[in-house]
Amino acid sequence: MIYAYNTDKDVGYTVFVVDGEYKANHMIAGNYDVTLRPAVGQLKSFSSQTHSFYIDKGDRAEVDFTISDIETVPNYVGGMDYPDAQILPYDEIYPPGPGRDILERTCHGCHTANFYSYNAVRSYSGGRVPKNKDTWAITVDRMHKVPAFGAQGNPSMFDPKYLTPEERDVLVDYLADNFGPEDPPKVIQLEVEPELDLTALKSAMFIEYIYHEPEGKYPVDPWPHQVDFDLDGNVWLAYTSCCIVKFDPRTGEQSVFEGHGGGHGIAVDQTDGSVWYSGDVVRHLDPETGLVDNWKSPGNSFLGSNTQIFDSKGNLWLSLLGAGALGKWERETDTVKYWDVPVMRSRPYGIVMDHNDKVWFADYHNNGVTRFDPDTEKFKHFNLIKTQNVTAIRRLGADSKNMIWAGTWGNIAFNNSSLYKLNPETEEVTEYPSGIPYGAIYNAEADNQDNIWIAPDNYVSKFDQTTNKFTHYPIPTRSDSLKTTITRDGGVWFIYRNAGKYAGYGGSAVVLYPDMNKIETLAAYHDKNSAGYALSGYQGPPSPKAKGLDRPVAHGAQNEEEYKIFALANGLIKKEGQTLTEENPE
Amino acid sequence: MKNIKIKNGILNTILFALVLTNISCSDNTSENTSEYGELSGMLKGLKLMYCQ
Repeated sequence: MIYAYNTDKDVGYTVFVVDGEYKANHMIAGNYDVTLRPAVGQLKSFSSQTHSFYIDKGDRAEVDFTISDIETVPNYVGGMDYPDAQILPYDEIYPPGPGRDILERTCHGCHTANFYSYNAVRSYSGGRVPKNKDTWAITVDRMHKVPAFGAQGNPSMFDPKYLTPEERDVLVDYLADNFGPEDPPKVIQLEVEPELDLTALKSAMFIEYIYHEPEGKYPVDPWPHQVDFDLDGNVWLAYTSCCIVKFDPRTGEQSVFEGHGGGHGIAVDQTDGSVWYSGDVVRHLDPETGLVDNWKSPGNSFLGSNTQIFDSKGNLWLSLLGAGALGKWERETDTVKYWDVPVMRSRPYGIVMDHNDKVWFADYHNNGVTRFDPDTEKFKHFNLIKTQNVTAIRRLGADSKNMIWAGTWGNIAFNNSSLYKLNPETEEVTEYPSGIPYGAIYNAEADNQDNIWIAPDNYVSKFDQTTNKFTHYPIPTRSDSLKTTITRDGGVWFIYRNAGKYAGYGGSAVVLYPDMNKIETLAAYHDKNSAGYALSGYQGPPSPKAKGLDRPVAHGAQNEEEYKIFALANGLIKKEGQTLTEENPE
Repeated sequence: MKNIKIKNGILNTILFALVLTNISCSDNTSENTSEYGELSGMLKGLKLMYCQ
């Protein structure tokens, strides 16, 4: 890869060297550091050289490189840096047997394969506290016996049907025997990688826009999560635990909105340019004034607002993971209300509208997706994964034919990353294995050609529905890539989450142009037919301005009585007024 | 999906240390009227090794 970094604008360009040649275009004028980079995991394989020079408007710079002094290094799986770790085959880290079988179908539904073996403490994700048998036992029990997130009335993290008492003891012994406090940090060796299409890579180009927060300003390490676009072609970044950042992709200019968190999901209201984003509460920013309204639940209980999406009527739908609820900001009344989701372990994560204005969200811990009909207020769960094990699904998408798409972030051994298509009419589910080992697919989104783009670790990949084939684009750095947001011109925006901290990227908004020769503008606009932009059909008034106030979320779920019946039937409450779980009924 | 098997833990693309050999910048004349610049070049000595 060739990496050209504009040091004046904090904008980086990455292109692939194919057949000994490379090319990049649309380079914003400024001083550049140009470097030949190795592929992910090979950063130690040579000491690269960088040359610095200025590229002006209209310039055509040429830089040739000659290579020598080969030294290869072993590589490992995952979108996270693991320094000072032994790199070993999976079977050596996870010895086969009943204990591994149990671990793969339970723990690996949510926790990465390197999480257990890399027992080193660090301030950002990927490390963990060393554990002995007693502390492993506490951890295992917390996952399947205790209400999730410590909230009474919640079911446990994973369904205890996957772990009998006898199996629980086998699992604890296996964890203690193989991942004890004295074991050195280990990670899984990369043994297989997907085939790359060099013709596709030859025309591909990444551009990354970087915001660096003041060092040490935030007590929690910030993580970028998602971008959205405004009507002027700007890109808005939710930089979790930090801030909201606005980039102008045409110039690299950036501005930051601090003091009110950074969000997880983000949705720009194109009617007025205001910005909704999520976190412990639901936030609404007016960029003109900098004022932010904070929507809070009764008693300031944890909403765990995760993602949001506008419908064609101008209303905003909110996945409230922490509350296990689906929320709605209603434009006409300027109120937020919510429904408890009557699906065990749904924990709404990603959210999207289909083209019939039905709300869909990913069931984070229940192997599928759920549809909500705003007209009937009915929920319907669709199972995607037919095997009997714990899985994690993060985000989902809808194509032009209203097929629903989602990938498995966690699945057996954290190594069965597949893309799933659901036909809601027939309930038929089709699985497409991604071919990326330990892929951890976070997202699935349709472009305006109905290609489905997924965001696994270390790649952004296109699935062509006409050929049922994936095209994989290695991203410029080792990282997860999280939520894609696709422009009308085919630019696939994403972020570097993990690399934000360990590789120093900070707050990143990155775009992949599959064909740099077809770029007409660096500005980012939604396609009017995108499932992520149902607001394009809205003709009504803009939203009321944010005033910098605390706003109350309506007290109580809209389906409170119906939910009580569900909760009683599933043992979440023993009788009205109680909040005991089925695993701990008394 | 055909995958490439990696032997001995070596990534399929073998990469090498670099020596920068040629740099030039030319002003736009007639074809490139873009408000942006371009960058191109060659990589000499690059070998791609695909393990079977």
